Amino acid sequence: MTEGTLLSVRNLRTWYELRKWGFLRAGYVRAVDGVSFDLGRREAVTIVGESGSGKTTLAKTLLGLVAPTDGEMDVAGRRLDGAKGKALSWIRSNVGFVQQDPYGALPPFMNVRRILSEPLDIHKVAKHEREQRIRDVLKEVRLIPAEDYLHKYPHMLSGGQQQRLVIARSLVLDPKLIVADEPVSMLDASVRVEVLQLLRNVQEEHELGVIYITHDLSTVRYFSEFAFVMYAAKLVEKAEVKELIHNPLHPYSQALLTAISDPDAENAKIIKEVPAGEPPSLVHPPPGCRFHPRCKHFMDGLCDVEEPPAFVPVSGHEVECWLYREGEGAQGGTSEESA
Amino acid sequence: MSEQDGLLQVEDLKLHFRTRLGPVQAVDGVRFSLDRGPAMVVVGESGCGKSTLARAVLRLLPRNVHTYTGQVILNGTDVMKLGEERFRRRIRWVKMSLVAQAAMNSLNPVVKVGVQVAEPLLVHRQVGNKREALERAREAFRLVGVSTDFLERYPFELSGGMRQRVVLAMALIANPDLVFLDEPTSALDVLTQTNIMNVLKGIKRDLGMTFILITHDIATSSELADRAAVMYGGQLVELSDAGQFFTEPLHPYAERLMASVPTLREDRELDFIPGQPPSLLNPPTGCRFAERCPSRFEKCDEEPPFEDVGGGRWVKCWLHV
Repeated sequence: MTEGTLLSVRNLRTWYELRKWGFLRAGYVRAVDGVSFDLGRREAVTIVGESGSGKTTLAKTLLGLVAPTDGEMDVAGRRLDGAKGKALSWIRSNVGFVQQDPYGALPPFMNVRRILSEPLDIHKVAKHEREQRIRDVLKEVRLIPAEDYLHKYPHMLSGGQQQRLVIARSLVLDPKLIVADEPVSMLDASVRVEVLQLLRNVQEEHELGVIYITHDLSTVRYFSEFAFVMYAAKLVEKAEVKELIHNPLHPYSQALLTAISDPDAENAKIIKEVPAGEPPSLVHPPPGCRFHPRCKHFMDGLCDVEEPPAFVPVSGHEVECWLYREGEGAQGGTSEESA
Repeated sequence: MSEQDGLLQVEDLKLHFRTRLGPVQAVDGVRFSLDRGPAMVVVGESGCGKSTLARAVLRLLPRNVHTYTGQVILNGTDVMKLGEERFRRRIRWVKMSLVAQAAMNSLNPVVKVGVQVAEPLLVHRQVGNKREALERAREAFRLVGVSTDFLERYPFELSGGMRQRVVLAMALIANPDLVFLDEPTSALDVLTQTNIMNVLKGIKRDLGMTFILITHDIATSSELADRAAVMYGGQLVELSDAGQFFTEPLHPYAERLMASVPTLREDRELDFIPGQPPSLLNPPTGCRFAERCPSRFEKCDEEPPFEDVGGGRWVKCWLHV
């Protein structure tokens, strides 16, 4: 682990146990299955995936809300997996969480002041600092003047304001890392951009690490430099956002990019070619590459047998797909250069 | 628009709800016409009245209706003049049907999906017996790309995308002239969304079915749109051909809305609209967007007319009168 690394995740697995009649083990839901990545200080990374791909479980594991089954996690040099007591409390104050549904994430019976002071109470921040801290974060998320908001309850705020309050709450303990799980998916288009820009500004100003989890690839480039694509509990591709958009390597990423439309009347005239079928069950994932039943480049006897390791066909661009193994020049992969 | 191929004409449609605080003007003076064939999308933010518009046309009203007036002319007949029972027998689902929001979660969990899809035919006595109805359901399943093995299954055995297709089959089975789709793909994954859009495009092309797609997702709406309408504060503010609308919207709200849509491939600065939409309890008397509009001037205190500005474009703005 190098000096500039904020978060380091190695081979992380989070499996949920399935029980039969309450006590017999019936199997596991492999929600996160072998995820590794590094996040530098001041870096923002996006994890893109569809529903059921395990992205929310990954977020919960990083927050210490769900214990990982296996693997290692370090935040700023401290071991995260299996943390208890004080260590867990340290995580909670240093990793902020921005939830998906702001209305559901805010207790309806608390006003803004109480919502923001609760984390400060729990983590025993000195009383005289609390009021100043609350005003600072409200200013930060542009709920100003603070006096107008402090006594309000969540239902008195609009959707965008509620989400900004959730962001304020995640910042109130001055964390090092923020995990934002679909922070704008419940908001209207016109407000979405405002909230994303706000989150970006906060990230840059406080030099935070941010993990932005989303299913919407089109907002990614407005937010982060790096993006990981998650499919069936694995990170199948890791690249810079621009590189990913212009040169997607994994067949799943390619399909995902084809499927996303930009507003253009020409779209109505063409039928897009996308893989049929659904993502696999995470209880019995297919052997080999998990995308192989839907993949048009399927190679019999390889893709359905052995799990592809990470290849690096272009420097800084990792992909878990057999198309890019050594010597295989397919799909623009230039494996010789960087190997 | 010529008389022959005009399918639907809506004139000054109003639907206000009674609430404790006064009437809510959810749909207020909507006016548009649509030919047979081209699909229309209605876009707008949540609370702008777009779902209520579909309900007002289909007369699926809640109990607290305050005002319900205007004309809905379908194939030359003003269906607003029909009594409730005649409307139910002759129009709803037979001539116009609806895929309601989150409809895939409203399937009856204890009835096989094939039977549920066939049901409208039996209710409307379009077929003699259940066997024939199921045969038609089989055809409808093929049309929307669901394997006919699924006829015998229950909703919980189907994935979200499959259920959404089943609901679509239900809306299509009586062979209506017009189908309203209210956010048909918003709860689905990107790839599933694209697959369903492909199905809709195919049906539109092969059967000449007319769709009205109601959505907040502008990028996805372009997958189906021939005409595009923008709704704001219970009113239509712009109605244009999709090609013109996506490249050059006229109404200041439509313009700002388009500027806030994130794009994947194109590199441009995003913008957002400051402020909030007006309350529909006491909407402003003049233009409803005036408060947030960058090009506001004195005239905006009066309500602008929704007028044809040429080239088949209708705009409700003093800048374009």
